[in-house]
Amino acid sequence: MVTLQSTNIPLSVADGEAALLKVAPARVIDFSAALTIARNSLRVSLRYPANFIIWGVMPILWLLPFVFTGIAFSGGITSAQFGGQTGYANFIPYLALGWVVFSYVDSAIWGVGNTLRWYQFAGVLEPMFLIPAPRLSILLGAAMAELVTTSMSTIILFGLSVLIFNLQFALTAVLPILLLLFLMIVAFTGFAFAFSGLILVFKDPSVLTQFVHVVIYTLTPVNYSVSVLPSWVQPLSLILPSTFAIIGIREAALAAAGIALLWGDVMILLLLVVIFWITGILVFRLAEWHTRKKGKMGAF
Amino acid sequence: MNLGIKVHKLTKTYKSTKRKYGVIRVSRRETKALKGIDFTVKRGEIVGLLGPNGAGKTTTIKILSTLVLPDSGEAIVNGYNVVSQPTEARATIGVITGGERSIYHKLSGRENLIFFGRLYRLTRNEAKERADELLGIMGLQEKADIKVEDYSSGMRMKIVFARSLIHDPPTLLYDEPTLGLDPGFAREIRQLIRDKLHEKCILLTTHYMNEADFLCDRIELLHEGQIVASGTPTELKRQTRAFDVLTLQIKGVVHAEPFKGIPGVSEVTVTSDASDASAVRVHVQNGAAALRRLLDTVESQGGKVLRFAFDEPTLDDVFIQKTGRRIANGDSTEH
Repeated sequence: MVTLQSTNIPLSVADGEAALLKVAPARVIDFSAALTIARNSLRVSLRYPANFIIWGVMPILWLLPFVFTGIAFSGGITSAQFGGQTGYANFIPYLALGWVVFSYVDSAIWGVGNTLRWYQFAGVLEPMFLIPAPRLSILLGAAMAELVTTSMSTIILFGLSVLIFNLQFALTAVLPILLLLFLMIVAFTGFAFAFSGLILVFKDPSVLTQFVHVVIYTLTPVNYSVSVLPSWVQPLSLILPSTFAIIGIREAALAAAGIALLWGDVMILLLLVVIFWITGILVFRLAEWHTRKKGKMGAF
Repeated sequence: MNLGIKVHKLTKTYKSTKRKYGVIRVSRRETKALKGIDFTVKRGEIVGLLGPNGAGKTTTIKILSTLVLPDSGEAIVNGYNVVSQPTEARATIGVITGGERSIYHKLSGRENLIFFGRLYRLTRNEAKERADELLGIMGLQEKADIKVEDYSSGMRMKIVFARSLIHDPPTLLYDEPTLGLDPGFAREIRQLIRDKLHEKCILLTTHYMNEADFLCDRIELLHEGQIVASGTPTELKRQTRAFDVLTLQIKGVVHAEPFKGIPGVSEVTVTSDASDASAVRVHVQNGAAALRRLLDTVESQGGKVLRFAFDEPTLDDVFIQKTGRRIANGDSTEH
């Protein structure tokens, strides 16, 4: 017969309760819980060997068809027509940077947005909902894990693009690029909160995710400039953080624009961070309340 | 604080809408899952919520664990209101819902426990220490570092069970904790609840009458969202004692008719087999008082009583008396 051993953890009822609440619970997001969740998500991801293929090979496979399409149309890697529209005649670095940035958008939509659905597939949705932390912490944890895996992918994509196409970027652009990228990722994390809330309510993530992905992809200047969009659509592109991040990053990397020139993009991204986070938190909380009221928290 | 759970006038109605082509509303349906239930569970007490499917057991557990919002009423866990203080309430409860799937199958048993321990605010060392302790209690030290996907169902359930205890919560909410387990594992889990967790406040739901009888200090019988009876298993069964059921094993062949003349006997069933033996099952108002007459009746027919037994009414009998229906068709018979 195994007996209960003594540990440093209080086992008496009263002491145990006190230990649990030794720190006042977070009200909006518990960053410590989010970090624990992120580490665990990465550990679980590493146990699926196929993920290495996705992280290592897929990004370049997403980019290549557009490069080949460009070559087919222009007969080379430059195009005067393309240059006239975008300001960059060589479309390969243009596309590579677009895809690097859009990978982070993709991870917010597919990765963070679908986290709750994936937890449900794994069977751990309810236990995760039962942890003593605001449920947004779960999504932030997923966002952190996605940031790591997406960065692995984009580093590979960027490295391969440099090697294969002999691309050259200004080294001085690193800091402005990281700043713009960071702000965009933070803004899209707020977007992912709202998106997760919608998935919590509507339950069918595949259609919703596909739809949102296609809309953002179409509106974001990944493969073409905003100017080619119909004039009435262009304002929609300008409410997306990805538009400002991609434009700014291209200016920094390809036209050596310094932070002083990018200040406008930075300010707009900061504003979008605030708007997306406030909206994201409110939408998720409303969705969570609605789902608890309907009694469908663990159901998909 | 001696009260682990307090539920007062708790109501919950689920509304569902039937739509044509997913858009056009055809009809709306309301299901009253809870109709104002009241009960409490003290520290050191195991209370069972017993009832058939749809009685409101799982809804009660889900409200107490903050997964579902009630419509009205109050649910307090360890002094925390589950609606206005959900995070605090969750910190003080250990919950089992969803069975053996509800852990990471790509992680080992130890990794699962440490991960959840960290989420329940244990330091890394505390979580490791506590995980080791629980793996020991569950008898899983040897398998602690093997991925859960390579465990048997019973072993997975033990990890789920250990997870509910990782932060040593004062209150435990167990929704069908032994559902689907083979009898041996189910017995181990029950024994563990009874032997190791007697200091806790435990609310559990079960279909299994034997389980409720074995584990629970008190039972709340739920039917269509209402508590129809409550008390200790013995008290509840005593309420049904309108008659006793006696079974007599007899050497020799006897007939039913003479037994029917005994005062208080309402029903007699006699079964005989080829080996010159009979079994008589008698429903009688007062079994003890009628016993002498029953034995005489057997002897008067030339039979010899080999043994007799009073059959105890079960919790299912109680439920039948209160509601007119059985709790479950497939009750577990092992114990």
